[in-house]
Amino acid sequence: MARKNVGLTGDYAVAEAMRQIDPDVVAVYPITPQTLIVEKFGEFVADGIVHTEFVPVESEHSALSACCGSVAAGARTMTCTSSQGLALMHEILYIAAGNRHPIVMIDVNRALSAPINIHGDHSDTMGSRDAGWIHLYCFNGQEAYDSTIIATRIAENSKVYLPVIVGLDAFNISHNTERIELLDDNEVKDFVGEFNPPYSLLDLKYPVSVGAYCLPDYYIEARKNLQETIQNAKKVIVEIHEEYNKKFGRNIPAIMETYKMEDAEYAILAMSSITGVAMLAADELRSKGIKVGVIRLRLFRPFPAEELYGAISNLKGLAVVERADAYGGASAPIFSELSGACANKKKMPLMANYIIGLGGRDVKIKDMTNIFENLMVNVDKGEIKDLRQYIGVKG
Amino acid sequence: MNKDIKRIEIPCQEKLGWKDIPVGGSLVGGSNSTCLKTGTWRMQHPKVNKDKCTNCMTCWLFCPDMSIVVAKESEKYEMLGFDPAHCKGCGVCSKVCPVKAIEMILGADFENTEKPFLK
Repeated sequence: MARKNVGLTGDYAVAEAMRQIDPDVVAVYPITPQTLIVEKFGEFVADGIVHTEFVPVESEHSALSACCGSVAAGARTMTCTSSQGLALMHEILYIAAGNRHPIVMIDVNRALSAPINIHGDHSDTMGSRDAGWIHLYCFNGQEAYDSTIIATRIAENSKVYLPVIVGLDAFNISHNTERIELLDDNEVKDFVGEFNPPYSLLDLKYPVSVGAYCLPDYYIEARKNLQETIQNAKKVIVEIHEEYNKKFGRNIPAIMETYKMEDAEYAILAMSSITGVAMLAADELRSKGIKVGVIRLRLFRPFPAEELYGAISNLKGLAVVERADAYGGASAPIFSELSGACANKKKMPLMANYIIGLGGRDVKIKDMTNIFENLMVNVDKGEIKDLRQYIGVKG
Repeated sequence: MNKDIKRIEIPCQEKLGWKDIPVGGSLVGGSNSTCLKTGTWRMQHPKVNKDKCTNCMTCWLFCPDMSIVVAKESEKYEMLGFDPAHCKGCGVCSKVCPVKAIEMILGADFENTEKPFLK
């Protein structure tokens, strides 16, 4: 077999990556718009193409619980979910990270209820952002495919041993068919290698208790240990991306992608598929001689504070454009993170927060040029009056 | 199984720093709960009347904390008393004793027991 180019939806591309990784256990519950992954992977299991033990559980809470059990037993484990499913997993997310279970989860980013909505935004993973999982956000189907393979290596690295969420936008990525270059099955097999678990409940020579009770005398030490581990994981994440890019001729940024940022005065910072629209808007304004750029954040956890500051410190204005909001909060998640991370920096651009594309609302080039123009007007005045603005909202 | 990762092999190792916490807070090996001196939780303490006691071992079987001290001589077992470092004073032994040889007395009785665990 060799590499081949095929037309696949983002979900099918992820299912193909899972087939090539051939995990020992997949415990999963279907939910729109992740269902295509489960269906396709279920076919692979039924056809005997993978050796995976497929656990069709009764809820997402059970799915992730089953994953924790199987990975504690020493099995390479994957799951996938979306929106309400991730919310139902919330309790177990913290357990998976605290017990250092290297589970890989594909989350198709979809809005949370209410009102009930099946379309794309980032409120699901943003709601679970502090659980201790590594978060990677994908630009397109190709990146979703590659990220699934990369995430397996990151999670299972002995310096990391942490669960990883790979986020891809609902429908924009999950259901749109695009040209995907699939690697050779053996290439993927060699790249991910054998899973070497931190411990195994089935290993009678080394008996362990996993998930033991911890009194106040050690809980804070355990949490500090988790914090340092996830912060130090950044180095490994970068190394594994570099290895992958070099081996397979890809160009996937580990932390972030910068677009026309070299001499930019104004920039949009965003995640996932909507950054493509921002890049087109930047092209349009560049043709008029306005110096604008785009930063696509790929690694949200651990939060790359220093790298982001390096990219924004010379700007006049920065628009943080987000497909999620923090209700009752001062600003949406990325804006809060970034302003917190830069709290003691002296040289900072003026920053404004724009909420866009909630519940799958189309994000148009005009929306992005409007954001740039609004930002420039405000920076000229020297003041951001409206810290948070909703874009394209009626009324 | 990754042999390179950090583990606690010695029970009751004291004052671990956050860097020494084994991966995922896992506990390696058995009998780690002996490190936890639950005797300080006690509000009442058991007292055995050895004249009544038949050494039937019912209290040993039912004690939730392995706090019944037992000696073995050839094929015979003898109930000696209680482990003050771990006995929480729950009173289960007193309830299950078929000859009512164990009495629960109000007070922790730290004065009359060894108390290195109180430090």
